[in-house]
Amino acid sequence: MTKTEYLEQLKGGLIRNNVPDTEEIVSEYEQHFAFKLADGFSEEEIAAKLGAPGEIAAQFQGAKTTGKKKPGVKAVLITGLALLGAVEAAAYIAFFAFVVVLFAAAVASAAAGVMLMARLNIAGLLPSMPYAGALLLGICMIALGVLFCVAGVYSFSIMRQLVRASLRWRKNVLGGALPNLPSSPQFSPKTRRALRTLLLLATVVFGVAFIAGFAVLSIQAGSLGFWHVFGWFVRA
Amino acid sequence: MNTQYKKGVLELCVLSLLHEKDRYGYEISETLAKQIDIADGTVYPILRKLKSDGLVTTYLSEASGGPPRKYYSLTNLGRKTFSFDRAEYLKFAKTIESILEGT
Repeated sequence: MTKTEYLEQLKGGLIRNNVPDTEEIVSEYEQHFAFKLADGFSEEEIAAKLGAPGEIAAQFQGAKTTGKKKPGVKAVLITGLALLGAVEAAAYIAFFAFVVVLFAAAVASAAAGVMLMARLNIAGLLPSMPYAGALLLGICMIALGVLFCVAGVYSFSIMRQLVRASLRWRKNVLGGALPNLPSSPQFSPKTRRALRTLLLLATVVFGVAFIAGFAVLSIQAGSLGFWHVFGWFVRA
Repeated sequence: MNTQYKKGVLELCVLSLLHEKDRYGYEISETLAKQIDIADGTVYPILRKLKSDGLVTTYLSEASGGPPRKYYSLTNLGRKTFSFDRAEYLKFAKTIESILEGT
């Protein structure tokens, strides 16, 4: 069998088997011929060593074929996915709002902490208290801000991974062949360790500073309900 | 040797060759055909299947004289699949060997 005959038969077999990208496959075999011819083999020898073109064409059938669904089925699928998508999108928007709230809480907590520690009583937002207590509560608020921030980062990556997994899944339903993605967030081990350390550290600092602040203020006010002594929560 | 045996492990062999370095199709086909008695043409369908499974990607690279060659390269998923399947196969082969040798 000559090279031309072989490639013709291969192409015919591929088309009969509905294998996609016929041209690309045939060109790979054409290159095989070119390499072997350069090594001094005859076209007949090469063709014989390659294996019967019909059999080779059949082996390509095993690979997943893309876009072979009937148009009717595909239309139904697309409609279904669109409806599902609308519901999903609503959920993602709500989730995103939650993430925004977390970051806003992080910024607000950290700002309150800085204000407490720097004695910046902007617009009379802070209740009055002795500075030792304010310093401890400020540290406590900054730690709280870090906690909110970690929660925000984690929530955001959950959301992002969910969206990506959902998009990949859609592609696969419509005939894609890429593997589905996991729906849990994928951090690199380094990031994961850093987040965990930060979370642990911030939790400890928050707890210690909160208890210490509470104790210091109670002692200075001479009362466990120190907020009454300092006149908090009372409209001026 | 029974062709059914070979078929199953050829995929693993191809992954192993690609784990070493990126190679072009003909190179893979030649390396394998030299050591295992297979028809030269059977490697290309395997490469295509690996690609559609997302285990390998391809890129074109200029070769000195001649058309650009299509190189195959393992994806992250391909690397993971290879190390998993390799370990599994080696364990399996060991078991079979001990059974066949009647120990």
